[in-house]
Amino acid sequence: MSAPTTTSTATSTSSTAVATKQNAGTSTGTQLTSSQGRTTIADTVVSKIAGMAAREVNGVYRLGGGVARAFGAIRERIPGSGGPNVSQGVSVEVGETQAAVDIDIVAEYGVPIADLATGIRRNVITSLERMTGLEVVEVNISVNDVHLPTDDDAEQPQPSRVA
Amino acid sequence: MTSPGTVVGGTLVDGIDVDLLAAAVAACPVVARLTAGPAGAGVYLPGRRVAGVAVRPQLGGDPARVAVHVVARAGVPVREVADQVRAAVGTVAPGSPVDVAVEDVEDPAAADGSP
Repeated sequence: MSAPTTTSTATSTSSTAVATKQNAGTSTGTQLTSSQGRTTIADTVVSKIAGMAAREVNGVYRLGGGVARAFGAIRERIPGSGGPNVSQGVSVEVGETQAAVDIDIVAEYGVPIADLATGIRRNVITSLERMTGLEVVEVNISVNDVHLPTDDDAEQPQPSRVA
Repeated sequence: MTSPGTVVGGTLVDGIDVDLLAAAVAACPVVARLTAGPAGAGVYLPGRRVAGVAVRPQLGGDPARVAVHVVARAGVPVREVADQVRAAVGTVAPGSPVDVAVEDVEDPAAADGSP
């Protein structure tokens, strides 16, 4: 496992919007390209892992921005769409050894956004590097909305009409 | 809350064990408890939050900056609180700059009732 490298990556992230690896290029993803073949990881894989990692951080209310959520609401109702989209609000760019991630989130009210973004970035980078072996060059986080406690009243799911 | 003495090793954030850090600060005699305060200070981790301590990475590879938000015991000078907290943080995260925020003073009447 690449546990030591993962830790050093998390250390090198900054609290600014863009975290760039200090040692980018020095360590290539040798786990993915060997003399006996190449391992390719699809964009979907990376976006799902990043989506799950961002979602599980305390203080994230949900993922996605206004437009992504509006489309998601329609998408969930289409038969065969597979229900809620795990990677909603996540867009990724995946190369052979590196990946870049953009995440849209809705934060919970009262959470310091800079600290939350640091936490998300740390967890996304750790999860992605552990599970895929890709080097994460940047994680851009945009906070689209803040979820207020009073919003819950308006968002009660409608009770099922059938038993 | 985190009970001091039971933490053997927690989550590492920028090379700092935040669970150990929280336990070390909470164990200070002049500290009543850690608090997130109105600003919600804490380390945001998957599934949980370590309230009252924040670890903020610095640019240029400097040791991460640590912010600690505490409720002090009644009758203790704030300077003394800050000194003790800094000393406690120094044992877990040597070399890190420490920002201490005293968010509140414990109510002596309330403290008598609780164990």
